[in-house]
Amino acid sequence: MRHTRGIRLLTSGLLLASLLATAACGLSASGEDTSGEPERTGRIAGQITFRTLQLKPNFTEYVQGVIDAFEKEHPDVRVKWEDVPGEGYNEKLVADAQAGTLPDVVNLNTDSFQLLADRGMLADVAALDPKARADFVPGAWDQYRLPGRSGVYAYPWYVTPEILTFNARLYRAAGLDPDKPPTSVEQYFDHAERIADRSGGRYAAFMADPQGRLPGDWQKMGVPILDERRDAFVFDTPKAVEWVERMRDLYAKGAMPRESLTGSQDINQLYGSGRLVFGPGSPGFIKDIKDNAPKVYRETAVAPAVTGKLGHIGIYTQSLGIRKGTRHVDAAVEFAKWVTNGPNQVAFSKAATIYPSNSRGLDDPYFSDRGDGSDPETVARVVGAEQLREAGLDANTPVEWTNQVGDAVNREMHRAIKGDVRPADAVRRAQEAANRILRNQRDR
Amino acid sequence: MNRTTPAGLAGRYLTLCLMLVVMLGPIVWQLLTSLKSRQESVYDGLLPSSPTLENYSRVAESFPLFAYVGNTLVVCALAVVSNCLFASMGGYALSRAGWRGRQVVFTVLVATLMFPFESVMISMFLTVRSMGLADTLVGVWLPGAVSVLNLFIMRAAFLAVPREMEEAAVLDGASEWQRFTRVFLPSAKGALAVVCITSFMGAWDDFLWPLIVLTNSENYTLQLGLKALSGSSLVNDPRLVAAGAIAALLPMMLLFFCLQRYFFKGVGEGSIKT
Amino acid sequence: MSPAPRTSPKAGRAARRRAARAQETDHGLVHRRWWTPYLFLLPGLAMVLTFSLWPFVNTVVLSLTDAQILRGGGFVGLDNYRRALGDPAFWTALTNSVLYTAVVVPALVLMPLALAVLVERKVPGIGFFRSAYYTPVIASAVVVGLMWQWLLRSDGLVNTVLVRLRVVAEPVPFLTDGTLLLVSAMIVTIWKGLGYYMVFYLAALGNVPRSLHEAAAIDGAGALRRFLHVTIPSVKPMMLLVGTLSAISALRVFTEVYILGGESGGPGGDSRTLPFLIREVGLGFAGETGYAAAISILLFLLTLVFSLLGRRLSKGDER
Repeated sequence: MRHTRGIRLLTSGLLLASLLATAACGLSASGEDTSGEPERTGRIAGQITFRTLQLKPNFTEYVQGVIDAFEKEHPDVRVKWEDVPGEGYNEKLVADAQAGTLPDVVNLNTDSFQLLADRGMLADVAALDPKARADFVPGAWDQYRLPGRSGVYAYPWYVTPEILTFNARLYRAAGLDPDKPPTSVEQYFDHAERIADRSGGRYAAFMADPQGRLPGDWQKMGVPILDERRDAFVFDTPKAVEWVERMRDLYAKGAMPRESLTGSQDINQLYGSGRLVFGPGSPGFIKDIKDNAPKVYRETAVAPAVTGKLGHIGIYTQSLGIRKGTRHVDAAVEFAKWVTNGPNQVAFSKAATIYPSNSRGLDDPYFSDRGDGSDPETVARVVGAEQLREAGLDANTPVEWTNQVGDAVNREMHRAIKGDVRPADAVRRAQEAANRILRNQRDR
Repeated sequence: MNRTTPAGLAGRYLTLCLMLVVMLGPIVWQLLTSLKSRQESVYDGLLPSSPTLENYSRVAESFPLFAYVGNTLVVCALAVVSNCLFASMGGYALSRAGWRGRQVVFTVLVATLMFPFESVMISMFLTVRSMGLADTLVGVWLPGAVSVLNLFIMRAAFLAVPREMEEAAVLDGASEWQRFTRVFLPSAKGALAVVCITSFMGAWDDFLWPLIVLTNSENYTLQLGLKALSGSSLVNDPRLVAAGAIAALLPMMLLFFCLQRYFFKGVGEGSIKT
Repeated sequence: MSPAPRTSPKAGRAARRRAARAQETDHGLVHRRWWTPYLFLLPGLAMVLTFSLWPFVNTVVLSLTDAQILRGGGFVGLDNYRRALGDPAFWTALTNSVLYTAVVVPALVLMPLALAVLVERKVPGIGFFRSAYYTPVIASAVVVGLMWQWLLRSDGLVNTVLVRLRVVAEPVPFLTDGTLLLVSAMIVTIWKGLGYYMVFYLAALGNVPRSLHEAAAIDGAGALRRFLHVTIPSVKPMMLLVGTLSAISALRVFTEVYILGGESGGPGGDSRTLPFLIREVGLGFAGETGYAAAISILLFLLTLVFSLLGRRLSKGDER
């Protein structure tokens, strides 16, 4: 037995030593080369990797076509395409960044863009390609700036604008006029109240999900989110409290499916089975409904999104980032430019229900032809494009409103909407929590 | 014990069927959804109004189901073999008393059992990559080649082997390895069957780890492929998702159905008994 | 566990067996070089050291730093632990995880055993039933979530029936009340575990000597008594194993809470479990790797407590 104890001691000693001696991974920032900005050489050649977010198998043909055409144009370049499912996309990016194996050209959403750009892993495309800016719709390009830095860190790719979709039959049944949909948050709530009064519990008006509604609803109501210097949240205002109060009352009345509060319910399912009046606000959704619930599709009407005091929608694009440490800068830049150019984006829009961020692309007649005005999908396309032309960055969720902030606010809102906490207290606490998180992030 | 009244038998089947409804719910739901045609709503009603196999052919067209299943089976087979072999060897050593360091090894193993995958994922990936196994099926398999759980399952089984059997083998002059293969392994068939199932399922079900390791979609395992089918922000067709899931599930169920009799027969002879 | 009168033959037999087993667990062997066990353990240990122990050490180191995702950190001592202990979210998650384990483990030790007894008898078609009961294990989380939501939501099947039968006046908020949501998630976990652990028990039941049952039947023991006094003692080691396995998976539960309660972890985040919290803290744009590592270590300590408790329980039982 004494032997065993000796070995036990020895082993724990060794363990401790190794523990102290190792520079654990995750401690060293990452394996990515984030030192200097890459420079162009003028030679477009080499093999580059291109990663997309869940475009296979539905858009395999389109993407492969774009790649093939590019390789034909630039015979010295080989593009290796990797497609990754949406679930776990960010986790994989982080693992790759840590290992120093990010793809040369990578499809990013808002979250992953912020993560990689903030950590200095993306190349400044404005420096590599000074003329690019003119090609994109206003706002799209500026979305990829970082606070406190001069560069632009990704090419804008496809856009999904916000629109208003609703079930016109149910809308009419509530005594509302489908030709006069709400344009402000307050009106939206009024209509929802009316729907709740008339529905007899058979259907609800909209999804509660505060996570999805904020801070957009507040911005549309004219609630300031951040102070002038953008270093504190200031949304604790009577307007915001009013929003919570109305949400609470509407929730109690049954204007929202009870389980939609936590965002765990499937909106397509609810809308598609005629149990919800307001559908999700994106044109792509219309196509889903067309495919999955033909009857409800025929009852669906489309209108410009509720924009309230702002008067326009925000702009959320997918983007293509270029890895800072790429070995073939020229090939990567040319390829990203190729994928995001007008014709290629328009072709993509025709294959999927999305919009080009490229201003020349948006001029294509495809986006202004309403048909006879009876097909929801066609109308949605035109409505979406019209809104996109006037979109402004001030309607976007501010960068400071990170997931963590959203989560914290969301939790307080749940309690208030359920009626467990007074709305004024909930908003105050939400602001305190949000500011704590902001300070914590700024400190580093 | 073998007397069975008709009423008893009926009661038994009634209970069996009742349980069936509870357990089969989601699969039946998916099956029915996968049979719905494009003309009808996915969301209304349970039964397809005009059943069609169209969704299956659409999946087959757009989706290399067999390649994915093949990749998954490679990983599963590797995992089953390595777990059965290495976990029983390790479990055997752990079950024998009186060697130095046993307590330390045991503690270390328990310690590692419990880590949320997300917190160790990146360091695992870096290791696999440094071995040159990124984007390979071997890299997908390796970290799960011997699971600590299986070590413990086998250890528990070997602990239960009657001492007399081992002593008899020792008297016959059998070496340690011979005792392991001829005495212990045969009496732990039931536990081996359990190890087979857990390691197969582990490899079959895993999503996040293969996603991290694999980049080339030709190497994708089934779960990765299925995720690519399901609800993207651009396309969302529950019928396709359901058809893919059922097509992937059926071979599994068939396999289980065919193998279960062997399993439980073999199990009957083995011993995890007291 | 078994309050059977000492005079009953089967209880006597069980006691004898237990005594025999207590002896067996500690037997050593005669001819042995000290490194033989290591040879046997080599492949397993190598794998475990590389893929489990190294990340473990890594996590311990990280938990002492303020590292963020993709950004290095500096040594901060025990700050992260102090922060966790002062974080109400941590305590909620800890309570939830403990509660979860306390409910799920007994259920998963006993119910699959009952199911295994049900399908053990070879009646025609039993293979089909056995396979069918296994399917929840392989069903996709998304579909499982949809099905249970459909059953449990306020206008779902269960509530419709309850309201119709006038058992309740208002629909039960299974999915919108923090505690009930946790209970619903437990039900899903148990449901998924039934078929999985049933297979474990089937493996063990195959080894219960038929003669034991027959002897008991001759003594006039009914089915329930036979179950309690013959079946349960014979599968006890398996029950311990299932208890351990289900405790581990209960402490790791994430998916069930996520699919029923959304990404916030239930209304107000009140149903979050420890793994849920770890993911939330550690992933995402501002992921705090160091803090998440500290919570992981605390979760590990909790597991250690449970496993010691389990060992104490099983030992106490054997003496």
